[in-house]
Amino acid sequence: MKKTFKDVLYSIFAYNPEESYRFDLPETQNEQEENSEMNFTQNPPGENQTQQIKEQTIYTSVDVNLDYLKVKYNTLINSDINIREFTLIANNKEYKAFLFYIDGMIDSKIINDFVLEPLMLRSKANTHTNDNDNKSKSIAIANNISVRRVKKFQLENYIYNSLIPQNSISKEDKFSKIISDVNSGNCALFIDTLSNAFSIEVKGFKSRSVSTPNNEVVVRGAQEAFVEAIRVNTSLLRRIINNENLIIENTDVGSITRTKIAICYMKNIANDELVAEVKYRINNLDVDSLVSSGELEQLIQDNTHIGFPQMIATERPDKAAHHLLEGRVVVVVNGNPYVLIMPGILIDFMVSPEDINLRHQFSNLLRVIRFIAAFFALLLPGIYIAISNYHQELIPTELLFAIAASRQTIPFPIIFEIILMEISFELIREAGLRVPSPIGPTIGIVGALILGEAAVSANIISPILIIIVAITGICSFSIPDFSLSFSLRFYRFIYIILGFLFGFLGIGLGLFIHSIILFNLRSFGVPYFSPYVPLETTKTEVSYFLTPIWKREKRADFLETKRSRTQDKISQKWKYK
Amino acid sequence: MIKHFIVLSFFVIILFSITGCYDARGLETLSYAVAIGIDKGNDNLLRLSLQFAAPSSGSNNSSTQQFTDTTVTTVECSTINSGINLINSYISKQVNLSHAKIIVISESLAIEGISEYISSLINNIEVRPDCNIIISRCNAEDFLNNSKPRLETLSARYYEHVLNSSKYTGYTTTTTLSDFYISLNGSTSHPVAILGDINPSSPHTSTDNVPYVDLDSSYKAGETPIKNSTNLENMGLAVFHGDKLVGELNAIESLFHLICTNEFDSSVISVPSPFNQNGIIDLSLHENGKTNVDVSILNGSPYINIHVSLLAYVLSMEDNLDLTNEKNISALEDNAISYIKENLLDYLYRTSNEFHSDIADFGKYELKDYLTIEDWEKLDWLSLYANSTFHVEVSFEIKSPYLLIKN
Repeated sequence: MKKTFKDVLYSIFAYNPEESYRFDLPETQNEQEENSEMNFTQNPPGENQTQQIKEQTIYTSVDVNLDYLKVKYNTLINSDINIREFTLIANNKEYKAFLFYIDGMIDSKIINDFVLEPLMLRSKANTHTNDNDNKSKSIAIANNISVRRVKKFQLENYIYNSLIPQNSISKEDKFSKIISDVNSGNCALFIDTLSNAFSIEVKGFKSRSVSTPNNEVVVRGAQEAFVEAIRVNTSLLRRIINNENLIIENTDVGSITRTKIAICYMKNIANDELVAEVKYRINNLDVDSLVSSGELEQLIQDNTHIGFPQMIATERPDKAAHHLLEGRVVVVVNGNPYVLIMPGILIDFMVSPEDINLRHQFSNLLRVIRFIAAFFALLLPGIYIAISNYHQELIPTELLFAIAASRQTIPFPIIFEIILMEISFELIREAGLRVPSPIGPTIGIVGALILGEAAVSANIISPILIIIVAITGICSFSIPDFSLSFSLRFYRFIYIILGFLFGFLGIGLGLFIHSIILFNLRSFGVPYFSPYVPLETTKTEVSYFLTPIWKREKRADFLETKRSRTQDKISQKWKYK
Repeated sequence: MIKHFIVLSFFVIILFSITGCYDARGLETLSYAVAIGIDKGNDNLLRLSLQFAAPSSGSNNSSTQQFTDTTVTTVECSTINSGINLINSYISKQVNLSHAKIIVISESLAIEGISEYISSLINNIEVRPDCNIIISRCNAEDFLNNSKPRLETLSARYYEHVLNSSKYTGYTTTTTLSDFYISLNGSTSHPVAILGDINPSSPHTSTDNVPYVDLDSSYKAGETPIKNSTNLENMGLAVFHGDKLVGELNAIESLFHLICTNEFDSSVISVPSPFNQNGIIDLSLHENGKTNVDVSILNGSPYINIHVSLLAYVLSMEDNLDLTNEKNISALEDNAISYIKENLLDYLYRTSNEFHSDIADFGKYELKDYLTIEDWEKLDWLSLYANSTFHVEVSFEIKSPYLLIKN
């Protein structure tokens, strides 16, 4: 028997209840036995229930259906479930019927005008009877017996074809489909004697309208951002791509929430295996719920231990469309304005959406600056502590004297000082993010300016350190991707400790291990340092530095697209015939 | 994978903890010597002086200003390292030599030989191999005490700048500890160091013959007639034979030393005027290509062929001098060539006949003719150098009379 140290520790200190308690009283002897068995053997009740819903077909009696739904939705305590019972008149007959929908998810004007009105109003179409439908088509008289061939009146088809002037309506015979449709804003129409129900699309919930991006701001370029509604988001993509080869596949995740997810790709560009892999991962998730794309990202990423992002998350439709055209896959999660783009490699997180709008020289300058910023955000405090503890000979003499002079009255060692400052910096940032927005800037000013200034005047912190921490902070802000900036901030603390313990040797060692892990990292089969490790010899449009736009002729090798060229060899035909 | 990572990190940290952390010294716990001075001691062997820059911060209200005081601490000791230990016990912080910019050795000590000190300094991991070596004609302790920067506030930067002046004056060189050590232990050349002194110092009795008394570059350190309060001055070169000081070169000779060693950049020289009996003309002298040296052994003694190429701009003007006239230019050029040649030969024969030391490293040009080190050592270049014969060629060109065409 394998017993780890952790198990021993848990067996000594952890709370292990001897028996499990149930707080409902069993009514009969049988039930008691059943319950005690159920604790150990049976599947969780939720799973069982869903299985049942899936198989349950719709009853022909409208009353049974009504009861079934009432029980399912707990209508006695659920406040927003609306059931409208009425009498349907068709073919001059009255049928019992009810509409079932969720208040707030539907547009009541549509229900009133285009569902209830044609069904209930005693219009000519409804009352007009036998004359038309029961009219004998032909009468054959033989042996004094007249055989009337009568066209049978089919209520189901009649309603579908004639009574409901709605574009999106489907006939369903399973409760599971009806329930999931109702949950997403449809209304269900049950009619007596029919074994099918109608699911009518009357969606009309309030959603945020398309607005400007909040977190990925560009000067030149589109000013639209994704919203929460999945259909709006896919339409934003389609409006940009404008091509029938854009495939938007729907699936859902979460046994309870059934969150809608759209997998978008270009059929004639994206690699089939990449698309298959994305679909495979998303379809093989057994979770109860999925609320945001951030959760989905964590559920389908390759490596969950290293903090580096492996998928691009963006709120910009133009960025998503650009990546779609590169041959990547975009995944839209209903209810989240951030879509996921996969695979994501390191360079994708260092690129701002502004880059493609600028001339390549300026973009490259910005990229160089961002790489410097990434270097400093990761290593500057570590290097500072390594130099001041081990490598004093490395800094210019005057700087050394300036640092030594500024540190003369500081009572703490540098490691304490630097960790104190880094933690306060993170605190200021966290506080600034969490407080209500009118106070946000005040926190920044109070924290950064007043606190820093006061700490220096009180000789708790040396002014040089304020500079170091401020530069590190500014550098981490200039990383375009939020999660990459987060992981750099996280690893910064490790490099501070390494620099403190072992100087440059430690930092070198840390970089070595860090790079081994990153070189080993793959996102959907693509090495993280593509296209440089492994080296790709052909120039493609995805690279660390941009070539002029007429030179970006090939799609990235690592995506293995079906269509490798993005433009003709001579794209500027007006210039070179 | 995360398990492996944790296990790996655990072992790495355990392994490196053995070496790490324990020699960490916060930079404020050290005192940094910016200059090292070595003198001959009275009773003991040696007097070691260390110049410290004491960073002190005086804060007035909001802004913190840093200014630096320097103090010189001197101790009598037997070796440099024991001297540093003695100073450690005396001052509050641990001595760190990693920011020492100059090493000053007094002339009196240098005459007796300094290889022991140079070796122990280069063996010290803290001392930078690129710190400069100055041979002071006065006491090293006095030299350090009299370093009073006028234009800077910090001694360390002062030392950096004051030695860089040879780039545009050519009056001395920038010999570093590693240069000195390499020449000392090499078989192709003798070491040379910067000559320094306090100016004005007690009058030196110079026995050197000065070629042109009226020209302003024949001074050595401490002799320049600058009207100023006492300050240190670096000018000229200290010539060694082995590890012993054997002589000094003045400023103009240093300039030709730089030309021979290809370190020359630019300088100002005054040549006798061909148009005026007592007049001189100032030229801004620049390098016009590498100095070519060809060494061969003829009849057992070296024959050294030196080809110098220089160019110059005329700085000073005389009345009625037309420098657009080709004849005038060539007359001036001829004069300058003969001046340069004369001084160059003076310098070369002084090094060979008087000092017997090949400070310009001519040996490295001869070295290429020998296949094995045994052959080379059998030749014994350093003692052979004293019999050298020099042949000097100067290609010289006056580029432009600067702004004035005709006066």
